[in-house]
Amino acid sequence: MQYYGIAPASFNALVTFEKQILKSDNLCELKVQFLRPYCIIFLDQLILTEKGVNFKIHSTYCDANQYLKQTGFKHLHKSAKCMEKDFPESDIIKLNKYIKKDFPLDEKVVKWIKSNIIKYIKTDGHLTKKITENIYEIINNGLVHGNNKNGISMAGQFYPLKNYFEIAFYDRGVGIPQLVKKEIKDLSLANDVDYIEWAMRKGTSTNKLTKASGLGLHFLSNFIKQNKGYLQIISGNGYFCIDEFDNHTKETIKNFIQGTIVNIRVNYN
Amino acid sequence: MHKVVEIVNNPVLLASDKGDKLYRHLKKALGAKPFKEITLDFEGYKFLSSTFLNHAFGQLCIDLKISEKQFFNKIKFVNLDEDDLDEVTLCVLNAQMRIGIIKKGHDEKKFYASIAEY
Repeated sequence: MQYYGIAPASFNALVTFEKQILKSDNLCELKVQFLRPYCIIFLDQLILTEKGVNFKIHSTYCDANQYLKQTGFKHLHKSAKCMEKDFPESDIIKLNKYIKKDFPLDEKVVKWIKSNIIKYIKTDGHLTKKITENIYEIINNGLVHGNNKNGISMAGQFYPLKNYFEIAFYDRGVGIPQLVKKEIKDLSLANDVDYIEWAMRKGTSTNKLTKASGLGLHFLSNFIKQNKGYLQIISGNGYFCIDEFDNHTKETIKNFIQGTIVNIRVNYN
Repeated sequence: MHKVVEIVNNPVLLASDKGDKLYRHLKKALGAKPFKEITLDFEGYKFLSSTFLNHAFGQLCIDLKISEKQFFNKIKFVNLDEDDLDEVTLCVLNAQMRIGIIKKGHDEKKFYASIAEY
């Protein structure tokens, strides 16, 4: 199973899941055979925020149920049929979540990254440092700016033959375009994706000028560029992507995504 | 010599509260204008974030109205990774941009809007 990031077309599937789950009472069956990490965290945040901990799902296909189970997804119904054989356990970055109550969370995040990512890859100290710092920035940004009571969820996948891993983060809180529009009323950009691009620039921030801030996303994009990795940010109707050749893609997606999804690919060879 | 890891009591320099701790230490150590010269030793640190840098150094520049030249004249950095020193510089420059706008009395919301073309 190969996974090349999130294609804008994938959001139709997420929104279909969302509609199905929102109209269900306690249980929902999804007709999906394969789920990517960004789908898992989307479902996790969606269920926690909109339905509560007792809501359960399962798929018509055992492959998807098996993957949900192995990621540690808490909302899989107990009757869900799984595969007889596991997916390689060491290829899965299990689902994890932080909420504001976890602050200060830096040491918790460092510990989690060490035992769930660094342990499985061959890398030098410099890359370990950069991976840790940038994942911390994403989690911290999501918690501080997303302001969602259910925090931020993350999950990922290793691709050992390709020497990279991908990890996705989702907070179903206030999305980047909505936050910027609310805080900086004079800024009038055409599309949600333009607000995401604005937030990536060096020095931009929704904080007061007297508060030093506004470098986190800029540092993240620099790291991705140096690593020849991949960064995707989806928020509201905006899809922003920096690929391994440093091409920037901006698209408007038809379906509105509440909150912010961040997906990164990091090379470790 | 001011040892950062000892000041914040931790080699993980990521969270804002650790940046705040270093900020308070530096403010006291620099004293009043024209400020004392100090050396910051990063020996033994493991990680560094923009949040930490902004809270420690960016905020110091803004609150004490320190220029970039003054900052690097008064604070010497040792045992800091070259990439991380670049990030400190970016953080200080970012603070300078803010100080400049505050001095000019520009409306901050309009300023942020103008960054779209910056």
